[in-house]
Amino acid sequence: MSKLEKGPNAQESVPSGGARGEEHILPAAPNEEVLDPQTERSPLWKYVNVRLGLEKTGLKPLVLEAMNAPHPRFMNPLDYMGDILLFLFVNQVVTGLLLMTHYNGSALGSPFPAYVSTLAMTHTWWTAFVRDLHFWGANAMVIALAVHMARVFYVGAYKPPREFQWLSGLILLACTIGLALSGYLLPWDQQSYWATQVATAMVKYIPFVGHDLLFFLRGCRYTCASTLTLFFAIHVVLLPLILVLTIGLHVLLVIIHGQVDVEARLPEEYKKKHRFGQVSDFPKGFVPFWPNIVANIALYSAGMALVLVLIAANKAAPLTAQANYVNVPPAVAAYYRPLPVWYFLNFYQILKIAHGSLEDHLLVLGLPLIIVVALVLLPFLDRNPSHRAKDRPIALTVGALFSIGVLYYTYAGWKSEQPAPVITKAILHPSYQKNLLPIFNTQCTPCHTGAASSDLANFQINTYAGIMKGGTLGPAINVKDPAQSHIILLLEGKDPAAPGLTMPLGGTPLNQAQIQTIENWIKDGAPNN
Amino acid sequence: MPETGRRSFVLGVLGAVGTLIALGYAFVAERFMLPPPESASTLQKVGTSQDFQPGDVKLVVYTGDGGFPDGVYMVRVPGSSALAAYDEHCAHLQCPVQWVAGTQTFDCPCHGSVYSIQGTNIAGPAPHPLNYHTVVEQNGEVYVGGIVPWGTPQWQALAVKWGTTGAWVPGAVPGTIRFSSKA
Repeated sequence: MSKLEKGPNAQESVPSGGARGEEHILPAAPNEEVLDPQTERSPLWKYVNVRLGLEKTGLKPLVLEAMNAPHPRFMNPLDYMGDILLFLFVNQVVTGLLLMTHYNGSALGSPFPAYVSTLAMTHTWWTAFVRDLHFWGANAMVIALAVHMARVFYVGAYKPPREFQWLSGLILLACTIGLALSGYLLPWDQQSYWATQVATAMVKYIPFVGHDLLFFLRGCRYTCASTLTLFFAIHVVLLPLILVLTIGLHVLLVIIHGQVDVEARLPEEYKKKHRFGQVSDFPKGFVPFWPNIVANIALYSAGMALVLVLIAANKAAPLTAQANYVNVPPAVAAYYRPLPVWYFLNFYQILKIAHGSLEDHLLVLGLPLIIVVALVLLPFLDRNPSHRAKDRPIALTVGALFSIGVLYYTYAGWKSEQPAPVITKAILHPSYQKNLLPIFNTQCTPCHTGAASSDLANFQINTYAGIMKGGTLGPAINVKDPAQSHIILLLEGKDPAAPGLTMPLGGTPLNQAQIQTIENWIKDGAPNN
Repeated sequence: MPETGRRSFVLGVLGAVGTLIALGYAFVAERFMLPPPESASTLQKVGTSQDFQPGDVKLVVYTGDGGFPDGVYMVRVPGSSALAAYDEHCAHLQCPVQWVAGTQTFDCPCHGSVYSIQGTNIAGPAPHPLNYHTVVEQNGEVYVGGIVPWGTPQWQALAVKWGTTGAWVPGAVPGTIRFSSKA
């Protein structure tokens, strides 16, 4: 613990000239002979050393350790995830600065300058390409961050003395999510407007101060022009600033403590002999950070860059219609159904479970609170000192269950939003399993689960028994007169029992071929085939 | 002793002045950030009394003083014939609710909350009924005013006046709302 606290202090104490911070890290009397003679001779080193006072302040061992730390020649690619994240962040900074030269972050006036300037970027190849790089880079960052965290958890890299690495990593996670969220709003299209409306609305669940805090965050009751201005400031100034400072601390701590995997593979003899900042004899099969590992990082970054370029050049970042604050016909020509970004589909799906205030508060407020508290306390709750997988059954089981939960709900959320399989020509003798179930599962089951709490029609459509039983309107299927089946009439919006109602509610109507296919199936006697 | 006393006095004064300056900035920042009071929003004409017949549910757009449009459902409440105005934003996470004539409900497309024609939450995660807007019917003309959030005394008063308390039991606080079996 005491060693840890010296890390950041060592840098802060530079101006006062005190080398006290290093006393615990350095050997009692720094010996000139053990310093790397090659480094010593380099003219660049001599120049920098004097200007930055590396020797005078005792920072020299830190630089030497960073450059010369021994690494296994072959490391798990997952151990490079942090470096890839750093590269992705640089990509975001470079492309973000470019985007700022084209973007007009205002939602005052009609059409909205923010939307128009974003739309204009899609008109020429290079501006579109930079926007796509920024968009896919942000998505890649979310994925890389999840992998990085999972790897850190798996190897137990949060355990003493690395608690601060874990905590600073959590700050980086929060900043990345904040950047993703605030960046999402900037195009000011329907997708970004309503996703932000829903995401920020969760703030009002915080007890006592929630409503005021939400007002502060938006500048209005509902997402408005002031929200865009504030989010732009948060996105380009506040969060990048915190991120850069925290990355500095995060990397400094990695230099001070080294990577868990590397430490595990270093021979005991070497660890006993080695003093921080000194260059000892390398164990067999080990190479220094500079230049060997740096070369590997460069290779991985180049690989990541290639992937990004290929995706960005082939797949455009989405841009829906301009934001519409009312979004209810006739105030809007094409109604937009609000949807979250893909990595929030899990939470989106979970929120649908709640019925009523208490359950809703438990999910919106309780669930994120538990996750945040658990993440912050993890290094202090898990007192098991072992880094080996087989010694940590509880931690790894909990981690695995959490990951499975996240993946499952992400999949379920994604599945609930899939458009029906495209049928352009009616199938004469359709199969219930092959042709109809996919339509029902994607278009109807988000609501028609048969659960009385959320399905007013009390109609379970995703099972054969459920569709045979029907709902509150009676049997859904009329084999004697297929065209007069409630399911067909409702899909066409012509059911006299429910005037003005067209299914799927709030969604895109099914096309004629799809409806005809269902009707043909009823004509066949509605078999379970 | 006098030396130490003087030093701690100077430090104390420094601390007090520093705290005062910090508090001053915090106060200014807090005032600066606060939004203008919503009750100040002006009334806006949205139609005539004939536009809203019994059983009608119509969407109008109310633009407040901030120049920001807000969707408002105008409802002739069945049974009371009062003209009610519901804010279109779901009480859950503020997606726009859609009026569905077939089921006579307001349905939220996001997480599946459902409200009755009285604006009462009857299914899904919504924690409370819809917010209101003030309505003034004068000389056959209909005006809509600023938002009246659920949970305020003004909201309660409007619910009683419009007869929109429905099956919802007034006086319930968030977290303990219960519905009668009629809902």
